[in-house]
Amino acid sequence: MTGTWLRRLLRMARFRVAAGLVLVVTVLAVVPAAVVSLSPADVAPTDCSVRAADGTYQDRLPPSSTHWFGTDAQGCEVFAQVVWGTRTSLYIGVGSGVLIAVLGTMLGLIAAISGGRVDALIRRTCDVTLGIPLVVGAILLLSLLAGEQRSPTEIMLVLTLLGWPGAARIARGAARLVLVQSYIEAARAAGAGNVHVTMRHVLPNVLSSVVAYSSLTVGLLIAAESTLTYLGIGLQVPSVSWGLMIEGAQRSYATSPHLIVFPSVMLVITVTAFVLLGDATRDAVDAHIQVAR
Amino acid sequence: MRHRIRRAALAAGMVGLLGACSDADTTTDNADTTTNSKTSTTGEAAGSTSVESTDDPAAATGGSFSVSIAEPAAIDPALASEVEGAQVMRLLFEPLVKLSADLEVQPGVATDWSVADDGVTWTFSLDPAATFSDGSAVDAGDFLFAFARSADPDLAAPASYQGGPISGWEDVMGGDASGAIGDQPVSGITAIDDHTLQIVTTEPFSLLPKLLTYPVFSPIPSELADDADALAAFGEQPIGNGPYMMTEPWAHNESITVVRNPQYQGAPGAAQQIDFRIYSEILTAYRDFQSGALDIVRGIPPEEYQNAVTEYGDRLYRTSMASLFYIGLPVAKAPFDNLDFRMALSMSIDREALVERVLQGATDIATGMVPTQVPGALQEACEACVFDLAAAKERFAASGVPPGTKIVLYDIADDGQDVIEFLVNTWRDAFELDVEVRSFEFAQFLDETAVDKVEGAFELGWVWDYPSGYSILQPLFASDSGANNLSYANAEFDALMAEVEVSTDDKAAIDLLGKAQAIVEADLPLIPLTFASDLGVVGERIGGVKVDAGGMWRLELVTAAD
Amino acid sequence: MAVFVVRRMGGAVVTFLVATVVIFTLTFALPGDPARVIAGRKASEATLAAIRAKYHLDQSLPTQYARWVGRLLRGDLGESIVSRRAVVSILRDALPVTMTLMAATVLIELVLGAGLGVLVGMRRGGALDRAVVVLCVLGIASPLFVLASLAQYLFGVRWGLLPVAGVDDGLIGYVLPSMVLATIGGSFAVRLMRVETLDQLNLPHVRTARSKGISERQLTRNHVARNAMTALVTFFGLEIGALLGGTVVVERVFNLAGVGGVLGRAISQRDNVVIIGFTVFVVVVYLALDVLIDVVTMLLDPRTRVS
Repeated sequence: MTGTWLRRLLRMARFRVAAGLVLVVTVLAVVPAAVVSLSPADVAPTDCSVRAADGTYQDRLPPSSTHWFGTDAQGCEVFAQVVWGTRTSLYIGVGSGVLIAVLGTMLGLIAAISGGRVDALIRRTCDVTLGIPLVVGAILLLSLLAGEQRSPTEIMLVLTLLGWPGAARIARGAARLVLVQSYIEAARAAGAGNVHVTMRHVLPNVLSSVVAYSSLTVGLLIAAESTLTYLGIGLQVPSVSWGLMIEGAQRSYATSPHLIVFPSVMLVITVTAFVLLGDATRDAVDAHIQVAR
Repeated sequence: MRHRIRRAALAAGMVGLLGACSDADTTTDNADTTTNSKTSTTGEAAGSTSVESTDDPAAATGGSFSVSIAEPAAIDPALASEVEGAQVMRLLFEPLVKLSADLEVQPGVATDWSVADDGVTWTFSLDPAATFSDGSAVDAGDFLFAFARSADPDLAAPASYQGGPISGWEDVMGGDASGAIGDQPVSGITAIDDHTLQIVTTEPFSLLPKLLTYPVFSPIPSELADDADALAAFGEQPIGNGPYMMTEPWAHNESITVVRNPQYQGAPGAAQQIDFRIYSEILTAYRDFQSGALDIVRGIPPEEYQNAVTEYGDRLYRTSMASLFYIGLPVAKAPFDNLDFRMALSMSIDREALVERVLQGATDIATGMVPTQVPGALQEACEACVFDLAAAKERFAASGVPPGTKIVLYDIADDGQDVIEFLVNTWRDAFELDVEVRSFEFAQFLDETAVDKVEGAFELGWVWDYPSGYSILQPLFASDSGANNLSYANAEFDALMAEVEVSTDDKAAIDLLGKAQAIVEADLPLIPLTFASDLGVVGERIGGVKVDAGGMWRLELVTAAD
Repeated sequence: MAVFVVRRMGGAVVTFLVATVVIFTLTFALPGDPARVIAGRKASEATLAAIRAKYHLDQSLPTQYARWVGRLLRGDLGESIVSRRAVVSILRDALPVTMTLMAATVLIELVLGAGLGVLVGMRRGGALDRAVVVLCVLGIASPLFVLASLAQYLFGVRWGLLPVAGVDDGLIGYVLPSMVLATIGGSFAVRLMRVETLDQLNLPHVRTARSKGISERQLTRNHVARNAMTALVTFFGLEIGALLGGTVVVERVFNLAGVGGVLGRAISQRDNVVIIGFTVFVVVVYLALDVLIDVVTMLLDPRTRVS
């Protein structure tokens, strides 16, 4: 059964393009040093100097054959930063995206199936968390960490903490829509237990909704990192991330456009890849469910 | 929260604030000192460009213009604490004495003043013609009420400590809250008659007139004392005695509009109306100016500075400020207790690259602890302020601090990220230091210093409260100063400060300040980085622009063609 | 029905109280002494003590919470420590701006979702569908503050078409900010409605209806749009929170004197009273909308009435 589902997915052109892009981005994230070494200016992303040993200024250089993506205000190699930034952005985006999906699905399912007090408690927690806007909640939580160097892991956990209710609501909603269907009643009447019903009927339906949602959230979460950085409560130097790069460049788009173009383009490509991947997966899973029914 | 318009705290001395400054050194355009011919005296500047010298006030219609500002914390002078509010207050109120554009003390409501032989009793004669914008006369009682109100713990004014040198002030301030504001008279200020005021200081304090230019000492109509509602409305639309007045309340986060005050006894403002437009972001204000929706933009983002110089030419105003931007060092803690290490840190900084490239030339290199245009400031660059990598490495080797040592660098400033990044790179390349950056809001940092928890270097700025090198050196370095968060103490320096406080001879005081500066530059408890500049661009129809070295825009002199 | 609404509102009140305790505790856990922020570095202990006493900062957290709740019952949210204005009046000033901004944004998102989303869902696989799908992905991928600054520079400065900042010129000032703010949510809405439409078209009864040859228009109106709307309404429930967060960024770039801008500044200034007042207000609005949306959802889709 899984075979048909996967085969269908692999046949999709969209999926191949998206998977190819995700693969490329993943390679950048896994072996950034190797990728950077391909460029003529093979330096670490934090290896920056405004004035070189020969006395020439190395800052804000436009892209050239020696500096593929140019250099930034501190004389850092933009190419090296973009490549290394992939790791941070993926870590935060995918990390919290996966955590949110897992946590959200679990809690959403528990709420939908248990009903009663458990449902009320989970819903109430969702309400409280969702009632505080993400940016505001993140500002409050991250401000508590003042005096530390905020790490990507902390950002990831804060985003997870504030992001799970969205997934939980969707999972719960999707689960309940299935639970009222007549075939579930039938299955239950036939003596199927909660676990069986969940695994066989509810989970696949919930999964497609959550996957579609998560594909979006990964993108949003990568962007959220840059927003928090823009507000001054996200990552800090010497961390390297697209958010930090865009934030540092966002006042110089009129004077040194290359500083904002490269990380932004990488961001957009990466998010696009994840969203397309999610879409394709959803369609494949959906079609599979249709067939299974 | 970075990239806000930098909100200066006159009192707080926060980083990069468009704070108070030294003598008038308003040069136009690109910091080229050859344009110093523009550094004219106020009188000339005003006389040549504005119409207020015309005898007939009706001829001075003047037009109106808009100018950018950040949301002030308050426009009630008793609650003064930062520069943005002060830009408005100085148009609405006139204290006993005020500062000329060259930052000389000149008559305000007081026409003249003198100090008795005891050195503590000052007498001020008030101008009988002085009136509030509602037509009532400004008399000694209004000052008594204003002083009592500013000192009152019921008001809990942020800058109430400013009155400290005045006799009896601290008794009121430290007393119990009574519930009513301004009901406890300050014993050091008495009315000899309606137009004569006597102020007694706790000990001889020659800087009193300069201190009294601070907005908390502005007169407040004493009738308000009995009218709680009127006093509440006062904060939104104050009734003052300055060249301008408000006819509608403050539109918070949007605008403050002032019009010429017909009751004002001094030279009337050049423009009929000034619209302060409130912006939360410096780039937004700049873009609004570029689109033609704003006449004067105060502040230019560094990234846009070079373009602005080319594009706006002599419509760009750059004023060197007596504001020091520095890296503070906790000298009681290792390895910062090591002078060689401190010198090495400072000498390794390529200030020219920092200022010219990273900050795009929008500010000046710091050559010492006191900005060079402050009277008596040492003009030669201090040893630690000169970039010399080889010498820095020698000092580092001599310090015995091992390479790879981890040090903490606090990022406290609003717009200091670029500088922090530059220093991290510099110190890692020069000494292989492992620099950990910790981000703090200013408030949090103050907490840390209060309990002496600071573990590393920190980026801060300082702006003086009144125009004297004393107002830079004493607060930063004196061992008994609340603002000295360096754990620095030098008895010789403290003794020099005590001498300055009682010195009535300006020349002698300047010599003493020079000596004190040399001491702290040799001890290096902080690393001077840059001297800030006030920047702004004005529209084509704007004339008579004068920015004093305190970063205050002399908006009463600005003219706007129709 | 009435029972449902009452029960739902009772739940909202409990949520509200829990939220206030959380917000209160979080705010007070923020490092930094508000008295020092106000008085600055040179302030003497006497000045600091006076400020702490005036704002009851010297009392314990439970005492302050009790005082706050007591005042809340009288409609008083306290006084800003920084500007010394009543939080209620700060809120009253800021609210119309944010409400207008959000209304304009939601309107744009609604039009995009219910119009474009359903349209491309009905015409799956066409050129328009492909173009819209790609545009939506780009909309989601673009960081809000980059878009905001860029739009401001291009439309305001370079081409001079729209105001750069503020709303002095009336509603036209909201055009750029709401369009920027709507990019992410609008992209979401379009995608959601597209998928919902596809799902609806796949439902057995719709497929049956289709095979019986009912007109596209009837199909859209009777089967697809109505059911898909449920999803959109739920979506806006989630979207309100995100929008309020987005206003922090957009209001800052476009210099709008709204809730987001004030809240952002209050947090950096440790203006606890304002932070709490505003956040609590936001929670109330959110909860109220949530109840409303649940009721609307129930009316639209009776199946969920099973509780």
